[in-house]
Amino acid sequence: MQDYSVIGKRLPRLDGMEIVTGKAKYTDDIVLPGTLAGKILTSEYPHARILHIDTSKAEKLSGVRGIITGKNVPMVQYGFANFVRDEYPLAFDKVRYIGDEIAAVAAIDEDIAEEALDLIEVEYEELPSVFDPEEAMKPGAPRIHEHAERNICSNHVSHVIGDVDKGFRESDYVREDRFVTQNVSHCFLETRNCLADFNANGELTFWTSTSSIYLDRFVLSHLLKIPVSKIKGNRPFVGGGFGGKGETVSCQICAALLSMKTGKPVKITLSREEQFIADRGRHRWIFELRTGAKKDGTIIAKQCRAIADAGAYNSLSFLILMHSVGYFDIVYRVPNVRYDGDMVYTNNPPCGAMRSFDCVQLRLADDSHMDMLARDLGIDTIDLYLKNVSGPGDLTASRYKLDSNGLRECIERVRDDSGWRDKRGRLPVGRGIGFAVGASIAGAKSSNDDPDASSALVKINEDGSVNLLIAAHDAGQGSRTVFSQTVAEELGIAIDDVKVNFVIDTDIIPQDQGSYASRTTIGLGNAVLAACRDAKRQIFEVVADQLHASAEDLEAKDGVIYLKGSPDGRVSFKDEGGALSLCLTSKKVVFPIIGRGHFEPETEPFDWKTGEGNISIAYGFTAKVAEVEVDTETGRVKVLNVTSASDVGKALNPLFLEGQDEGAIAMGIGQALFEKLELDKGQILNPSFSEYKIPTALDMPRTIRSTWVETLDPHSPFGAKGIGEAVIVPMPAAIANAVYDAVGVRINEFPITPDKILEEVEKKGKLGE
Amino acid sequence: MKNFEYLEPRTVAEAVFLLTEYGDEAKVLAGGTDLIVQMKLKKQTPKYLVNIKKISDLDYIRYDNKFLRIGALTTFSALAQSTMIQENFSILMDSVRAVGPLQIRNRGTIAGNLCHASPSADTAPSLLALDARVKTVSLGEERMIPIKEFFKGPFATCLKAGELLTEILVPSIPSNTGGTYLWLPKKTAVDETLVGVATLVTLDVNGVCDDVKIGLGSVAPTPIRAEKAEKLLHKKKIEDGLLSEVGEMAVDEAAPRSRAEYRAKMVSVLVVRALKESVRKVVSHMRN
Amino acid sequence: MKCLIRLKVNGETYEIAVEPRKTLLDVIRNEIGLTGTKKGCNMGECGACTVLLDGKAVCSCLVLGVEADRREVITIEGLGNGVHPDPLQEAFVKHGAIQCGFCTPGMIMTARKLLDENPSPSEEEVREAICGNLCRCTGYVKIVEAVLDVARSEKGGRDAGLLSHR
Ligand code: FES
Ligand code: FES
Repeated sequence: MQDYSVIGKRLPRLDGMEIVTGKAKYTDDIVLPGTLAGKILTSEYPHARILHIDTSKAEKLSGVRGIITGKNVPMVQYGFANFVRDEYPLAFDKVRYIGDEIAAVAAIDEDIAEEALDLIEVEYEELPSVFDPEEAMKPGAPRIHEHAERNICSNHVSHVIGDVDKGFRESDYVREDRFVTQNVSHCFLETRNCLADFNANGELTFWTSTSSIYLDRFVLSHLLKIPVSKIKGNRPFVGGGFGGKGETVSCQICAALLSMKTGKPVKITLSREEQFIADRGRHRWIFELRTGAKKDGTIIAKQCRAIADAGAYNSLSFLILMHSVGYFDIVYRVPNVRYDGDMVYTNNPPCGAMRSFDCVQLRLADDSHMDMLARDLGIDTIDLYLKNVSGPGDLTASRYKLDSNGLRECIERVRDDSGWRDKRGRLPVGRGIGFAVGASIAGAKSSNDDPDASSALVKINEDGSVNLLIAAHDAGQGSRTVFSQTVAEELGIAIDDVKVNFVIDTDIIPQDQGSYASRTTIGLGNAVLAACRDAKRQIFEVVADQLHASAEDLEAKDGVIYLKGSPDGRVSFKDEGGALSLCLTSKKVVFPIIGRGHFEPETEPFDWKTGEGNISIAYGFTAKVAEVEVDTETGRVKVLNVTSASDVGKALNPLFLEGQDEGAIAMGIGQALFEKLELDKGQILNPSFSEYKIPTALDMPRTIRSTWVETLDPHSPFGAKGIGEAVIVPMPAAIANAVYDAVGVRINEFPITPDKILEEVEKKGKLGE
Repeated sequence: MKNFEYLEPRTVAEAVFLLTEYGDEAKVLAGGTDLIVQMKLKKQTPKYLVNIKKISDLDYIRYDNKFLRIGALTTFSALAQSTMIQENFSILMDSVRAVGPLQIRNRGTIAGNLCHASPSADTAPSLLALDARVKTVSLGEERMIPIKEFFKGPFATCLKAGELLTEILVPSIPSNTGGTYLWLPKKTAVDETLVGVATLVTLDVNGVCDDVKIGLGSVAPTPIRAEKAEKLLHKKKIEDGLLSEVGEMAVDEAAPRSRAEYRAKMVSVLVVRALKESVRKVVSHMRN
Repeated sequence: MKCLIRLKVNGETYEIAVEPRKTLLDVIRNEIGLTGTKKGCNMGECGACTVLLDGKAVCSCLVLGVEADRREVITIEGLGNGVHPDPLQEAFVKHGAIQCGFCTPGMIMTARKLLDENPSPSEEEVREAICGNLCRCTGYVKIVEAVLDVARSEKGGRDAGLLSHR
């Protein structure tokens, strides 16, 4: 393997001191003189026609500066995926869930804005509503969107490969299971927000906590009819995203509209309760799974019927359904596959993208199901996976091209590192060990109307220091630092000589689509690499003259530019008389030397009816083993330790990879054991951290072992693949399987709470198997 | 939050005067960990907020071998740091440990916690088992209220308008007595209590139960004593069979609402565990 | 009606007129302009707003500004800065105990308080101490490591930071 000077090192975050000293500015920390506070009025009904909105009393309240309703905002629909746009900035005809935005107020402070909301009178005509996706699909169910027959988002998805029925007939054993997953919330600590400032020249400047400032700019431009050149987006530090800040939402649009109305800067920061309601987290899925296998564990056929509750608007739901198809067959080689899926509108709060694009729910169901299948067949679960696991170079049933795939190695690694062979089936009652796998896209592909491009600028200054200008939507993953490592490695300079921007300002920073789809590592990484090479080429041309060599034969490493294979042909990068001095006197270049880099993945055909098509540049893989202890009297589960191995392509900075994995393990534990948005007729019953609980330091296992498998993906800089999403995928299923191992009960409706465990244990009559 | 007038009395008399003057429109602010949240949620909208924290002589922990006296402004942190409580009232210390994280313990007061009267207040079951009482002051009157009579319903106490809780009194614990508070949080390790059980057991030299008190939290509209369950143990030797009977009896006395079935089961599990632990403490004490 | 309060924040005295309903968190952030202290929930549930009030770690969102009259507050900005950082601040960077960083100021304040009171905590004591500070990003692993690392290196005479001068 190639040896690197900066890549692969455990370097700390370059923006770390900003954060730990409290200097890092997040959106809510930014203040403009005379900023007004905005608040949004939302629907109290799950489904109702808006007959009349009276804002007159609110307008008279002292301190109120402006109010907008659906009547005076642009009647332009928006939504993340352009073929299923179904939202308006503020509802004007009807509301479709409790929380649907109706009006917004700007006032001199938040308390007054809040008081003004109480004074707005809305007259509704309640409509029949529906909250269960299976009910919503039935004929005669209330129709939530005019365009959606049977409340089905976009279209039914049907993916069939081989002959599934024949496959089941030829199987020695067929197992069926039904699982229901729960709604989970992102719970990033910084709620969504926006500070917008519209000025006399018709220019809009905004600051917002986002995973895609360019998308926000695009949506605002599209809605407000302001050219993008006159919209300046700023993305300061961001307090977590996990997929939940990739979509432009009402609070951003309302801040802009209120600023346009009042002529003053307006800031909207959602309260924690408002965030829970507007969050758009994980969907509730219903999975009916069927798998047929030979006695030796060879899988012959797999079938999935999936129905998911999209909530009141599409958001990213339909796209998520598309991914679910591919995630069903990405981890195995199966000749016969059928996946039937529907994303269904209901009057629940909308769901959206969250870490792994819901692969975690699918794998939770399927890995639970496969664990049972293995037990039925009398085969060790890990052996069953190893028998059927997908491999490098595979083209999956859904047409994913797995050019690099280290899943087998991940599985073997966690088996060996966790002591699986000694523990599985041998632990005392109440202790158990469980295994599961995960996968995720690691990048995106462009489709015809949706380019997935990244660009980067590298500026080499006359003193040899380098400015890297990139739209790295870093929310803690460390991408700013990793790309600085990339620059240092590629130019052969010290990381201290690289300065990267912490804030993304759309006026000056070259565009990148944002951090979603684990795309940054490959997408932006390739752009940064290209920018470095562009800058390097310019320097090399000058140095080549001096060394009487050709630029192609030069290389930069550890502060020196040298002629490949020739020990004497070398110049220092920045010392007196070195490459930079040459450049200063050369007519071929001017300072700063600017390298431009651009990357756009190839466009590949994708079939929206079947969910088939190579959706990503690369795919990340992971396997995890969890060991748990179940208190057999109280049903409480303690996760004792977790062993994890992930195919990251190439570990660019192990410190950050561990951070991603450890954070995902925490999130996975929450999802497995207690996190659930409680809904009653569309009303969220637990919109606070005191009722919707996330893991604390005391809920974590005391031992976590994170390791990497390096498969060097051919499409990526240094071979690395984004892994932030894949790492969470196996965690809930590993726990579910460990709980089964511990007490012999299977909970089919998640999360796995003590109540349910005890109930099942009691039904079963005795512990263990 | 709705606006209010902020008042800072310096003496109990002054506080009581203000509370009498403003009646239902006034609220007492102590640690604020419950009240401020209620006010933000607009579940409480007092016109007058009476901050009693500037009253100088309400923050104390004293023990004179007959009574433990805790001033109304004593925080959970102060209680947690008291070696005297640890040595003489370990059951109460268990309860204090169940209360929130550090930041909440540093602000929250035990008196405020009682006055908030949440059915899940962690100190209540222990104080019930300890037969504690609270001292109140109102205009021209002082009352001593047994803790058993203090709670009137979820978030409701017998305090009258204008009445201020000033002190908690806990009688000393007889010898050969062991006490334990056990609790299960709702979901995570740091969470509201789902079921809390305090048991206080006094044994005679033969290991026969002289006295048993069982306090239950979070399984009825108020924290309660499981008196029927206590009676089952009276003058009996504590054995496994009897213990599960006691657990079942405690379940009968409880009336949980949400997650009722599970909560009920947990009452019996925790009652049995707490009694065993209490007995273990007495026995190990007797041996020493 | 506003009340005039005088409070000391990170050693500086401020006199401010505030509405009684404004929390200490809002006073620190909006009136004084120290935005290092974060608002994650505003309900005392996440610990992001943790500051030291008269030396005690509290959720500043549960304290009224008026209650801080004549009292002393230390925020993350007062703990150390880029030139004179607190050892905990450095350790958090070095160990990768920060991701999005939104929980970090509160987390560090709580950890500082722990180490001041208990210079050699066990891992369990560290976890216990920070259990009121939610972090959605890190899984707490590296946070615990960072705190323990500082505890080890501070034992036997800590290089006095700003805090211990007071
Ligand atoms: S903001 Fe104060 S605890 Fe969350
Ligand atoms: S680092 Fe993001 S919440 Fe802790």
